[in-house]
Amino acid sequence: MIDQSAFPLLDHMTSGLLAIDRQARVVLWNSQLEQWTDIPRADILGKDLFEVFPDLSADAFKLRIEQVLSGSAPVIFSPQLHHHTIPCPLPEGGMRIQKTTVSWLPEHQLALFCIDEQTEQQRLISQHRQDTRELKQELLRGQELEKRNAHLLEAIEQAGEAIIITNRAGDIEYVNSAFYQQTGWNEEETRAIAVYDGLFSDRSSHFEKHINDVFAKGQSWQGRQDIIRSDGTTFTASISIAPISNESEHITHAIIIQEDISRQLEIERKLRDTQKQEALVTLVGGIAHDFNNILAGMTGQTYLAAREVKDMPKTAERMQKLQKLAQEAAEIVAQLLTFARQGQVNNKEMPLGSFLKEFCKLAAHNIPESIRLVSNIPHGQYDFRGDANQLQQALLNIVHNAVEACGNQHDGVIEIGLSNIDSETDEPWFINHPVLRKGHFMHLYIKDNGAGIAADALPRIFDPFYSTKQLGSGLGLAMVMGCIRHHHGLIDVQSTPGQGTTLHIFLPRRAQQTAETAKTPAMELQSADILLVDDDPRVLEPARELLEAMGHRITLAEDGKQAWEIFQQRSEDWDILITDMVMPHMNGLESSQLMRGLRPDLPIIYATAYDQSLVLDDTRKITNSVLLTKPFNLDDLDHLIAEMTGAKNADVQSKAANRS
Amino acid sequence: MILTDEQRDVLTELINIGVWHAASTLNVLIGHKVSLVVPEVKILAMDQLSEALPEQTRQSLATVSMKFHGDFDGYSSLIFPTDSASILITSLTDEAPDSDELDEMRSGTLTEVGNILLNGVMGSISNMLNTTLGYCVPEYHETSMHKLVQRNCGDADTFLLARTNFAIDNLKVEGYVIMFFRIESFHRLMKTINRELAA
Repeated sequence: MIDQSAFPLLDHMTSGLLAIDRQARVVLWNSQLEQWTDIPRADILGKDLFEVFPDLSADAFKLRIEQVLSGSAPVIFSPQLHHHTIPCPLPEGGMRIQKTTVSWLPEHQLALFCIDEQTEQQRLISQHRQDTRELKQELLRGQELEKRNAHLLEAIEQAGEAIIITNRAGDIEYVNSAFYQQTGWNEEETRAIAVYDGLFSDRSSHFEKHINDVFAKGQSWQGRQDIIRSDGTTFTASISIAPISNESEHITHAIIIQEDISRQLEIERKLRDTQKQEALVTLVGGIAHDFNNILAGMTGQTYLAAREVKDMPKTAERMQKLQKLAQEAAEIVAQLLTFARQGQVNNKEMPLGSFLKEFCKLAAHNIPESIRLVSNIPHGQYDFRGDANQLQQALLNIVHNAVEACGNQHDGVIEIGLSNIDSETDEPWFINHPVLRKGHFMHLYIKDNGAGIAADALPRIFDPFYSTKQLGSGLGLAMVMGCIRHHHGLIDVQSTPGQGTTLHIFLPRRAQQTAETAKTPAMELQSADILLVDDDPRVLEPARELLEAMGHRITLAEDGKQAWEIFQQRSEDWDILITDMVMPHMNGLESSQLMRGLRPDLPIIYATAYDQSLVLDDTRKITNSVLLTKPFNLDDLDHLIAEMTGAKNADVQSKAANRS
Repeated sequence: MILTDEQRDVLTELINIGVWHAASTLNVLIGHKVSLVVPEVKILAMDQLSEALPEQTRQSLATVSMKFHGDFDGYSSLIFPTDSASILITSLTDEAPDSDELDEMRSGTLTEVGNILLNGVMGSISNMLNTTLGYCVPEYHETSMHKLVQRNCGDADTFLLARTNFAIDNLKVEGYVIMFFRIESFHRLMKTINRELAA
């Protein structure tokens, strides 16, 4: 037993100290342990440690303590693995956490337990671990959020729409790169401007009110707005404004998303124009077709009447005047048909350069001396296939307008030019007319320095019946448009009031070879058996009378089916078939093919009031056949019947495309 | 210093017996199956130490060192790379492995593991060789190999290096037991071994 009073120091130590001898009897118990365990020194000294604290008899303790008692190295009982060695209750419940070292003191033959309390350290460590864990999670969440924000920011930055974030004062706090591209403002200028006064200066648009409403009511707004670029030009944008709230749900900012829709509007406008044109084409084509049939009837009747009144010179003269008037009406209808792409066409291969040089000579006769005509037609390959008459008429219409635009001015100049499409100089046209990129187009222009066309009139100049002239028919440029479209070309116009107008025509370059067919000389008139088929009595009756007047024998049919029935009754007797193309029950092409089954040598004249090109392909392959456009030129028809019946049984190639 | 095969066998066996004892103590302590083996024992000079443990020379290490004195003097240390130490503690205590940090609580645990292992080895040596050794209380340090050598008697010039493999359940952790000797002390150890071999 140790006399503890000899070591007063031990009672002032903060560690709990206890010693046992080789028999595990407690020989030392300091004040700290008395206090921690509430076991007075007197009660424990001399007692067996394992009996007083039975938990220490467990192998995890006892074996190692016994090792120390046998003089081995010190052992450590750590708090995490053992919590405590000597149970010391805490006032608030639970046991004090301890780290215990047991060392052998060879000079005293004792094992010394040095017990350090670690309750507070362990609590702090646990707290620290918890805090660290939470911090790590916070950090992870932060990183995740940052990553997401970076993605969002990247998406906003790369968006095609301009995105603007503004505060309540209208200051711009953020814009993406699309904004700079759309508006031309730079970063510095953007910082200096407010949404209200810098960008959206059109006060009448109530834009300020819309944005104020977004802040006041928290409701989004969508609409269109003209935006002013830094260079003063404007564009139309589709805009949506949405509120941005802070955590306390107070609206602090607004986000404005602005999409430049000017290109889309331009496409929509073009589409509307095209639709309008198509509607007009249909309407005009329909009217002109009916008028054509009426005129055909009138011409025929007048011709017959004129023959009947040969003895009445005055009446005959009136009849001739009447015929002339009908001819003039037919010319107007022809123009309408050209606009409606239904006119009579006579396409031929021709070098456009030479044609245009010739045209300039012709045009020179049609312009007053006060106006100078300049031609700019460099030598080049300008192969073209088209209707020279129609094109000449179209260009004359344009020159006529140019002359009128120059009016009485003394320095009037009209320039006519031609070139092949050049990928550099014609680049600006490619935007509106992408097909020109393909290259094989010729660029023809007619330019004047006259009065120019007002901006509001410009979109309508190709409409039929639209005219700024008091006596204008409004068909001139409509016919031009129809002609150019018929030739698969494009037309565009540039004009500045007071400076002049240029019409640009783009025509496709071609290099096709087709045999030219000369007009066959007139043949001697013979009487022929004719089967005449047409569903329109206005055409049928006068044509019959006319042909009969020429000495032919005429049988009538009202449609292809009836014609086929009549034909079969005496198929060998017919000299020629004259048939309309488009009819109810059975069309002209079908019935004529049935007849050709019985009579392969039967000459056929196809008559149509429509665009020949629509039926050309079908009839071109049929030998000994001709396609004629109504109303007929009577002399031509007479010649044709004579020629074809005279050539009966001969294999004559179709001459349809070259007939007029 | 070159060991004879016999001397090497004796040393390897002594240490193996020590760690076997330590393994049974750990089994009792944590209730998991712990196996410990010492596949190789080497005697190295100072300049060979960093060669033998190139990884450990660069890494930060968790170490438990215990000074001993008596018939021969020196330090014995158990060393782990800190991440291995962390894995070991996590598996011993069933803690959630949310941190590699060795705070005081965890370093206390590692100290006890080191204490058990080193006591096993030292106990085995002193028992089998019939010598008496005195010990100081083991200390935990997170340090580099260089500082560890400086701390454990800077003038030590002979090192007994024993690689130990821990396998706790399916987990494998590798650590090293290094004993630091001055040459004369090591000679005394070898003399003792020779004496026991002769007996």
